[in-house]
Amino acid sequence: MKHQRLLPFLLAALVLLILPACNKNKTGTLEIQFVPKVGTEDLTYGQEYTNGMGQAFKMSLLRYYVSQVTLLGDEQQHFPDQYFSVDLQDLTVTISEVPKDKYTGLSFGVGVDQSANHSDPTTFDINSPLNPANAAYQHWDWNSGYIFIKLEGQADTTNNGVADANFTYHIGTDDLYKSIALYSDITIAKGMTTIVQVEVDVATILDQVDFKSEIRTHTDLPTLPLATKISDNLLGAFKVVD
Amino acid sequence: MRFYWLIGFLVSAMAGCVFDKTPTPQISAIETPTGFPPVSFPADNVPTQEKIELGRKLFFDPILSLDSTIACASCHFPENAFSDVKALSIGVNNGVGFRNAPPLFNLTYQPDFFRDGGIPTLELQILSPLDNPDEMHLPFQEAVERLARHPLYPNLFRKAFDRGVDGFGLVRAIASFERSLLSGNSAYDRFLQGDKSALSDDAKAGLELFQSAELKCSTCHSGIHFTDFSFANTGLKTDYSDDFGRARITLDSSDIGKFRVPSLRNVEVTAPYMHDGSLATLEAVIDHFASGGNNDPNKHPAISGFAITSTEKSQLITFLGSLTDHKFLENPDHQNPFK
Repeated sequence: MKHQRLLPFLLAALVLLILPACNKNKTGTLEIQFVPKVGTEDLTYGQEYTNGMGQAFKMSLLRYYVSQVTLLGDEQQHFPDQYFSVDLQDLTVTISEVPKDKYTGLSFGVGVDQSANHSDPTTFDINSPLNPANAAYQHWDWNSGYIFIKLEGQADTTNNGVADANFTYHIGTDDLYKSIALYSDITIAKGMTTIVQVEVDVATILDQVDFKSEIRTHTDLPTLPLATKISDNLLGAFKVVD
Repeated sequence: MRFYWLIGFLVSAMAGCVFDKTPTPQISAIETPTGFPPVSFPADNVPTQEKIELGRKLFFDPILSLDSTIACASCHFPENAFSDVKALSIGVNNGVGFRNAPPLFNLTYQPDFFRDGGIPTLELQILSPLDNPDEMHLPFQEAVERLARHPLYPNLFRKAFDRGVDGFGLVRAIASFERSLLSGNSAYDRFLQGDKSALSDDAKAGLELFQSAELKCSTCHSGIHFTDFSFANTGLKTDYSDDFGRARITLDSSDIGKFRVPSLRNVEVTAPYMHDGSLATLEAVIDHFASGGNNDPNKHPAISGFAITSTEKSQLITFLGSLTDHKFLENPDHQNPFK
């Protein structure tokens, strides 16, 4: 009699225990650690660097969204609903419950994909970088959409060798959303965290940008060529650290 | 027998996974004006009296600007169909707006917002003036925190949204109030509904001119809303480099100088006119269209100029005056709730 009364509780407990456990059994965690560089040097805000045109510049902000992370391989794994903001304060993108497997690489978008780009920011979770409550939120309120990447700092615009004029490069709009594919063997093991270091090179992102004549863009019509150039440069700016 | 509750538990647990929550049927607090298509609203923001009342308070409360001096209503006056009497509105720190503040009514029918159509929903629109340094200049999160500290708002948010103050409710409350601003009770509407005496003879003559092949007003100012919601370059300026209009959004140079065709309802009380407020009177607007405007590769083909006598001009203006909905302008539900 006593045991019969317990049985329903045991069954219920069993159901509750087994359901979530099924998922976690065969998965691991992927951690992408971005390593910001300027050419061969590490990126430090305020430090002076020289671009390919011999112009001095300093960075004060590098921040971008990462979306649509995908592990490539025979059984590719796509994580469409997870959005991240990357800057010097937070360089890590963590994706849990990745099915264990040997993957051949990873891809991700720099920015926010079209389906989420024009949605209402207040509908995202309060902790999401897409919600206005988040300190990393970057959004254009006059052309509803996210600012995919911000690069800000000072540069020498007069050839006097002093980096003292502000530059602002804010890149967005659906057409300039870039998907980056990086090929490298990535093994996700059960219950383990796999760290993939990805260098992001500001010198490549700003390649062929002339600080003298190209001091700002908000991805608007007159400066669309500059925004497009920076967006195109993103394709070559990321590489996996072996 | 004693296992039934377990089966019940399992079935309900499964149902929770399989089926979405069935929304409780709600009756909209917004009534469609006679002769108008049914009002619509987003699935996640069904208008209720509680939301509209909260939105009205927020609309008139300067708490939403940096120094608590500017409310939405500081540039959108009920007696002017919620437009501003200034060409360009003045924000906090005497910041000057970028374009003429548009009137607010029948927004539930509008496909997107701003004179360049850059904002897809009314909820999203609210983010813009709030954040703009020349308007209210209040960071969004600061607005949320201020309201959360306020003695009254947290309770009003709970009543309206069943949750505390957050950004989700903030934009939805104001959008609900704005969606409730419906105007469809002008003399012209009564005329349409069969009261042939609602329009004077001059107004009827003006209506004929408005629809005439010479003036072509109704090419774009068409239908029940007196706009097809398209974007048109009217040849107003010779240089649009300080405001590209629709091209600011599409990044397409063939859209330079195109701005939303505005509704002409209540137009009599929404001076000054055009996207930049550069024309002070309806007479000046008619003169502009009669002249055909400046040559511009993007200019709308209907704007080719026309001849009009001064009598005809005054008839046309009389007709435009018949589009004023006085009940809307005086509606007590639209006035400052703090007075």
